[in-house]
Amino acid sequence: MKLARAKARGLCGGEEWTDTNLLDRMKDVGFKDRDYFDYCIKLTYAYSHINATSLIWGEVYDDPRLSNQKFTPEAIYGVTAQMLGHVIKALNCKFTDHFTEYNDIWNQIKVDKDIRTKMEKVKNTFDKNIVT
Amino acid sequence: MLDSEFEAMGRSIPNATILDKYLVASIYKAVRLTNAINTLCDSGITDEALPILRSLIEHTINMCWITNKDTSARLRQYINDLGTGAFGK
Repeated sequence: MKLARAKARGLCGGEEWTDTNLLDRMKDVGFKDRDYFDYCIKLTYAYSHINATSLIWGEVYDDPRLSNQKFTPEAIYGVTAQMLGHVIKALNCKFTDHFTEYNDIWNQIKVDKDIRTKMEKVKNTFDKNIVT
Repeated sequence: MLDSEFEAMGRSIPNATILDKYLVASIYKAVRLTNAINTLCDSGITDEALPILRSLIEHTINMCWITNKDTSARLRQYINDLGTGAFGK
């Protein structure tokens, strides 16, 4: 009964809990294309929900390509630092000239440019193993 | 870095608005999320840091979106998103 009521109100599991469209908001604040969305947002979504992409397949398939495709801490540090730069810039919008170091942060980091290639390799290898 | 900037501001915001309070709460959250990510990565638990990274990304985009333009209306919308009617969906 409780479940039926929840369904009627559209409250069942897996549904969005806000009306937020993150991609629209990213475009609004200056992200020019979908790359960042596709390879950060979708990827982290996969890990939040522990879907097949996020399992450590290298532990069960004897394939060196799999065991070498994990994320490096440096890649995650890079994205984290980028986000902190944006946070500080947002603070500076309100408290003008108090938080001007966001450019320093962005200049100091180097995001892992191979993130897309790595993920494609992982996905392709995974698909291949499932078929065989 | 942030600590010295808040120190320079006297660690207080006279007549703080709801936007001021939101920003202070948000920066506090961003720093905690960053510390959590760094702690996991420093311990070699890299993949498991990704859900927290997503939280940081979404939190950051929201902050940028609110401060970018139409700030009052957007802040109101952000707060209403987390209203009792929507909470827990």
